Amino acid sequence: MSLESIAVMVSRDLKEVVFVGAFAVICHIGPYRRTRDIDLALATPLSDEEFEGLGYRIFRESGKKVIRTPEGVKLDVYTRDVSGIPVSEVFSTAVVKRVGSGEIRAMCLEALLIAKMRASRPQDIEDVQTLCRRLGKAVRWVVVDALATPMESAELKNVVSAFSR
Amino acid sequence: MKIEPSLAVVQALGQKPVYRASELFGPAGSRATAYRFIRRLQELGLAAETQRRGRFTVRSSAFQPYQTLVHLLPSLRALKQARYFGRAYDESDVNYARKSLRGMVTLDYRAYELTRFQTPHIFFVYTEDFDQQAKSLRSAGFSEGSKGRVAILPKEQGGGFENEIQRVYLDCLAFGGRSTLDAIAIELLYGDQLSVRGEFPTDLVLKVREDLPA
Repeated sequence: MSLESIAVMVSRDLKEVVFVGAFAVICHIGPYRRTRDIDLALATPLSDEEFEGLGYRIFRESGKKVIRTPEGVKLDVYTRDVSGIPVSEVFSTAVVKRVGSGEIRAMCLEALLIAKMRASRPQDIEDVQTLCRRLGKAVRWVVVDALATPMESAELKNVVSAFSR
Repeated sequence: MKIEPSLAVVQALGQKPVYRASELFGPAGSRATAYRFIRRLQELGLAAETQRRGRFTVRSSAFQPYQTLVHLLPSLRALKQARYFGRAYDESDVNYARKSLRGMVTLDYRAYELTRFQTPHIFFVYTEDFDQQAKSLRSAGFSEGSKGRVAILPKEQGGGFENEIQRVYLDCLAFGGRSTLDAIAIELLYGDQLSVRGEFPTDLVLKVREDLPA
């Protein structure tokens, strides 16, 4: 089963879900490189029993709680913030995206760029460059200014302008 | 490779998506030296100018330690000469290239075959008859540009192709960005076949180990 179909099913199962991370990048730009795990933000945390009741499996791997869908796809669940952006703001700024045969909610472009800039691992830096190259002109600076610090906003403007033709 | 002051300067700035040339003026000592350093990084295949003058990107491989960077030079040289081709700009281009191009597959697709860790996007292939393969792609209706999903790389004599896994690993390390994760996955699965290794932050290694398919 494709990751897109699994995301649609996860959305149906868990209800208040916003996809973040690499899967959100794909929602915005289309096919790209990704690992076979899904990062998501939940409006209301679910207990282990609630996850298991929905057919999800909970494991302890290297001392860390791991949630897997019935198909075995690993879910990284955020309930407080995503790279410092409170989950409430992730939800209020989320956008609806069509993937495969269904619709899901994904982190908006602006929040995604800020989260990736803050993480700044090699893969995040590549994602920021790709998003700015392809969608730089679509960035809503009002949203960026509301979510980021003035320094981060200025840095992001610098990145977007570097890739603008 | 002699020790490069340009690397020391850029490493001091830390990793980020875009650098302004002016950020190097201070650490380099002067404006002229800063521009000389940027040109040197471009020659090495570690930096590239963006669409906007005075702004440039730096591969994450520039942050590898000096003793590793020396081994990345053949990969960086090849990547600098890479030529990208596209026809439908989707998986069908890759399927065509797989059937028609002769050579050693590296980066995305080979890393995926080796690790199943990260889905591939661009089909990179080393070829000995570089210009001939480019010509054959063009005659099959492919256009050359920067967005294609088929990339041909020149296979240089003595370029370290004896140990294929080592070469793919070094290519991933040199390419940087998301390919860094492929390099880590290869090291975790085929570490015994590698004589040269990169250095990675522990959290990145743990993330890859956690996400590697069982």
